[in-house]
Amino acid sequence: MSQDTTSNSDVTDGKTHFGFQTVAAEQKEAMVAKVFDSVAAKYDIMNDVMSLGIHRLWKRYTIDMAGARKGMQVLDLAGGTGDLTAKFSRIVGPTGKVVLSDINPSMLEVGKDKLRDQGLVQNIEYVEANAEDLPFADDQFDIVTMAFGLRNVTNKDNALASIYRVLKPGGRLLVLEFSKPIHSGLAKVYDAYSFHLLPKMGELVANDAESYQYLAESIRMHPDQETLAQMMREAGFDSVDYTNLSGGIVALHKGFKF
Amino acid sequence: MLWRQCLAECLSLGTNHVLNLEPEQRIAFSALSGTSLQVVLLPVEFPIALYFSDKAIDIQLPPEPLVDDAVDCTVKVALSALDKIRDTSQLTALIKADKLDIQGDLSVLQKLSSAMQQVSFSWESLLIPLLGESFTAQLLNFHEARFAEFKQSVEAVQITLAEGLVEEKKLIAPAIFVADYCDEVSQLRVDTDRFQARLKRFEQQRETNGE
Repeated sequence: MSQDTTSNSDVTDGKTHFGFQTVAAEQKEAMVAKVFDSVAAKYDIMNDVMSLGIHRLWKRYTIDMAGARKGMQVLDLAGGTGDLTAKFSRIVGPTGKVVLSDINPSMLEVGKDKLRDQGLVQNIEYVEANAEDLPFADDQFDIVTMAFGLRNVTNKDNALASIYRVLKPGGRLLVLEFSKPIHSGLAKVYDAYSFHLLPKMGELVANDAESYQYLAESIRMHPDQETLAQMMREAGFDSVDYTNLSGGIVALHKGFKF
Repeated sequence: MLWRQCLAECLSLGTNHVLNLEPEQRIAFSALSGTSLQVVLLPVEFPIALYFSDKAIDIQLPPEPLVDDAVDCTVKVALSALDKIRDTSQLTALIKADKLDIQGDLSVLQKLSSAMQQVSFSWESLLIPLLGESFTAQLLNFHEARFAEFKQSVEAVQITLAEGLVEEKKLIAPAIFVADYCDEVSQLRVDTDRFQARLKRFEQQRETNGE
C-alpha cells in the first residue's frame, strides 16, 4: 500500500512520520486508525471546542468554493462524521450522489448514524476506503473534497494521484487542511495553543490527551501552503491555487483536472 | 473574510431552531424536501440559497448568484417586494411590475409561499424554554416599553425636522432674486474690465507724449 517515493513525498526509505515520531510507513495507518478509533465518539464536540466553532465556517467556505449543483457526483474523502456530506447531499439533491468515504470504520459509523438522524439517506453511499487506493472507477466524480484528512495519509502523493484518477475531466479537488500561519505573531500564539492547551482540552473533554498531542504534531509536520500546491501540480492538477483562512491556520487548496 | 459563512451559519441555526420549536411548522416545509431554491435580492444581486431536507433547511450565501440550473428554482426579487412573494396571488402583479423574475420550477416557490403562510413566529415561544415564563414576560415588557420610547423619540425628531424645513425655507432667497443678483455681478465685472482698459490706454498715451 505505502510506497517509497522521492521528491515531496513524506515516505523516505520506508519511513514516515507519525506526529514528531519517525515510524515504519506500514505502521502509520494502524497508528492513525488507533487515534481516530479513540476520538470518533467525541470528534464533533472536540472540533467545536478546539476551534470555537470556526471549523463550521471553514467547511462552509469549502462548500461555497466547490461549485456543487444538483445532479452532481461528489466524493467526501476522509469525510469522518459527515459535515460536508450533509451539505453536499442537500445541494446535489435526489438526482445526484454523495459518497462519504473514510479509512476508519469507527468514524464512518459515527458519520452514518449522524446523517441518518438528520434524515439524509436517499443519495448518500458509505465506503470504507484508503485514499491512496480508491476503489472507484476512473473519471467518476465531479468534485472530491478532503477536509482535515490529508495530513493523516501515509503517502500523500499516492493519495493525490488516486484522487486525480477518479475525478472527471473538468472536476475539481478541494483540500481543506491545517497549514502554516502567515504572521509570526499568530504562529507563536497558535503553537502555544496547539502544544499546551490542545492536549489538556483533549484530556478534559475526550479523556484522551495523547490523540490530541498527535493532532498538534501532525499539523506541524504537514506541508505548508506552497509545498502542498506544488504536490498537487505534480499529481497532474491544473489551475492550482489556495486561500488562507484565519491567518493561514487553515488553507483551502483547489485544483482542477482538465 | 468569512462573514458570509458566519451569517449563513447563524441563519441556518436560527431558522432550524425556530422551526423545531413547533412540529407543525416543520411539517409545513416537508413538501419541499429534496428541493432547492435561490433567492437573489435586487438591485444588489445578493444570493441566498435554500436547500430543503426532511429535518433541516440549509441556508448558503454564495459569493455570487448560482447559475439557474444549479438549483430547482431561482427567484430574483426586488428588496421592496420580498415580503409580498409570500402571497402567491401577487406573483403575476410583481412580475408585470418588473419586481420579480422566476426561472425553473415555479412549484418550489409556490410550496415555499404556502409553507411561509403557515409559519407563525413569536418571541415568547422562542424565549420561554430558555428563560422561563416570568423572565421572558419581564424582558418582553421592558423591550416593548423601550421600543415605544424609541418610536416616540423618532417621531419627535421627525416633527422637529419637518418644522425646521418649513421655517428655514422662508429665509432662503427666491430663485429670481438670485438670478438678478448674478446678472448685476456680471454687469459690474464688465464695467470694471472696461474701466481698466481705459486706464491702460491713458497710461500708454501719457508715455507716448513723453510726460
